[in-house]
Amino acid sequence: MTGKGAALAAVVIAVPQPRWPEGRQALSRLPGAERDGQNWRRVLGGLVPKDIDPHANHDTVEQDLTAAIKSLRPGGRLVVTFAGHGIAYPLTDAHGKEVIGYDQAVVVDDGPILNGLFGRMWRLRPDIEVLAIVDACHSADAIVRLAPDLTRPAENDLGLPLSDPRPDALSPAAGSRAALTNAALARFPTSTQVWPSPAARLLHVASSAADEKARETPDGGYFTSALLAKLQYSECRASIRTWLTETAQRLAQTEPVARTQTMNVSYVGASTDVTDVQNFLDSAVGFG
Amino acid sequence: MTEPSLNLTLLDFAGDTPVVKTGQELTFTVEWDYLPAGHSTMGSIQAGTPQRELQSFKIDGPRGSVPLPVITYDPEHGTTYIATLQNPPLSDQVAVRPKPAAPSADGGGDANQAIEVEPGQYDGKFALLSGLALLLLSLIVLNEFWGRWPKIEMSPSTLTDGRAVDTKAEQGFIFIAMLGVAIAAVLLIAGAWLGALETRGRLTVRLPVPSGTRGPDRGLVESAIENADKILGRLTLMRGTIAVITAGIAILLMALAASCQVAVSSHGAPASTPSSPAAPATTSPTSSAASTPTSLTTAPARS
Repeated sequence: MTGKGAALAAVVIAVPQPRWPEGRQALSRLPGAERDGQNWRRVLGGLVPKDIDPHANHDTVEQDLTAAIKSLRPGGRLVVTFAGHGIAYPLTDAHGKEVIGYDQAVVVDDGPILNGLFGRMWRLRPDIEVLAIVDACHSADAIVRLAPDLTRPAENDLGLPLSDPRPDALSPAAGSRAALTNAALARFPTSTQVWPSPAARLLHVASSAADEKARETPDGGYFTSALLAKLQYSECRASIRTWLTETAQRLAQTEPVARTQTMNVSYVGASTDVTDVQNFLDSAVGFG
Repeated sequence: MTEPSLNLTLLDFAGDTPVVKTGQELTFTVEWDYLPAGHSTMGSIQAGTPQRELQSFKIDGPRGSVPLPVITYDPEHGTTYIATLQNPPLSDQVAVRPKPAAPSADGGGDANQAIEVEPGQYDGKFALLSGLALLLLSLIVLNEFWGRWPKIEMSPSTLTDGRAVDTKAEQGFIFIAMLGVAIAAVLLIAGAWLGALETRGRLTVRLPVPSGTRGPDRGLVESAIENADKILGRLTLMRGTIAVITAGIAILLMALAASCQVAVSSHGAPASTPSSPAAPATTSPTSSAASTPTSLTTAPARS
């Protein structure tokens, strides 16, 4: 596809130690997340000209994403990577009392991104595609935000929604998951979901399921290290599917995360048509 | 006629077999010369078992060279990097030797890594502060004993069963018992201090926390709980502490036994001398107050 703008843009987010929350509940420092950010920047080359900001917050993330999205031509691809802390937080009923489910979020310097920022970003340009790679705890669907956040009632100070979330915002449809697994021959947990409003096609690659923790060493996250190791092979660079499949296999053979951390992939688009997913998965990575 | 050639070179490394470690960036260059007409226009760098292509490079003439993009060493690459060309069929290889991964000192190592018990880690500041605190406690304890010391000077007024406890032997027993309790108290305090030092020294040796967790979890706490049995196992190795505390307890028991002996001898004696309150005749002359008849009559009598 042609048009004005870049074919590829990238935003690398790495927040090794958010300053939220303060005090005794402060999150631990993750030297591996910092290293991940540097490694992604090296791999992505000139796509990430600026140094990685270890204190990226809601505002800077929004600015960087907006600039990158606007720089793309129609059909272009935005690569977003996140390394840092992730949380699963409860969704409560309309009274704010009963926990009816959980949603996941990544944590930047000023707290978890719960305000629909990513949902808004992905709706800025429905004519692009996004490859999101998240290496954090509870990272499955962490930056998908299926629910149309602008129509969601205001959240309270803790970011907890004050009304019942849409059922499909909590878990992917089982039917779609089975269909994709059979048709796409993907060897990793995959789900497909539909945007409720026009938005970019999104392939969300997460280091862990919603109820799993992601681990790291000071040299980097186990997941990101596996991704980058596999990205060195020409065959993997030629196909996202091969890349992710081999990464999932490597992760499954890597101690100590072999049995505790499962790569999780979601595709979100205008439809759950398997062809759309296939095309995305079979495309070249475009960098590395 | 000169033979066609292909040479693969690893830059910035010396020696026949460069030692590389995981994550190390390797920079290769490829040179070729005297390629015949119709030669391949692309070559590749391969590694691993089976061999897989890592990078490809363009051959734009019968002679030339090209630097390759940085390759990050990974154990999957094995020990050999090979540059290949299909036409003419040429190849050249560079052997590397992987460096064994050193155990991490910051908890980022292998989850199954054993806890190293020896040598422990001596924390000088902790030792000094805790030692001073316990020394102060020892002085307080000894002062308490010292404050009561004069009262051990037996007086004939210590009467039971109508008999005064005034023999030198009984006084000696009590003196020894008191001394034993004081020594035992100091030994127990010293044992506690040694135990604290050993505990801190051994338990601050790397716990097998495999890695950081990217979430607000209780990773360290969970890990500590998981390793509780190992921590308890370390406690059994504190031989010095155990020896000192055992000695303290033994002396304490002996002191108690001595005091019991005194009690038995003074209280449990056969009531064969109820009519001989004059027994304190041997009482020290300095115990005049205790020898007054008033004291005798006011002494509690056992039925």
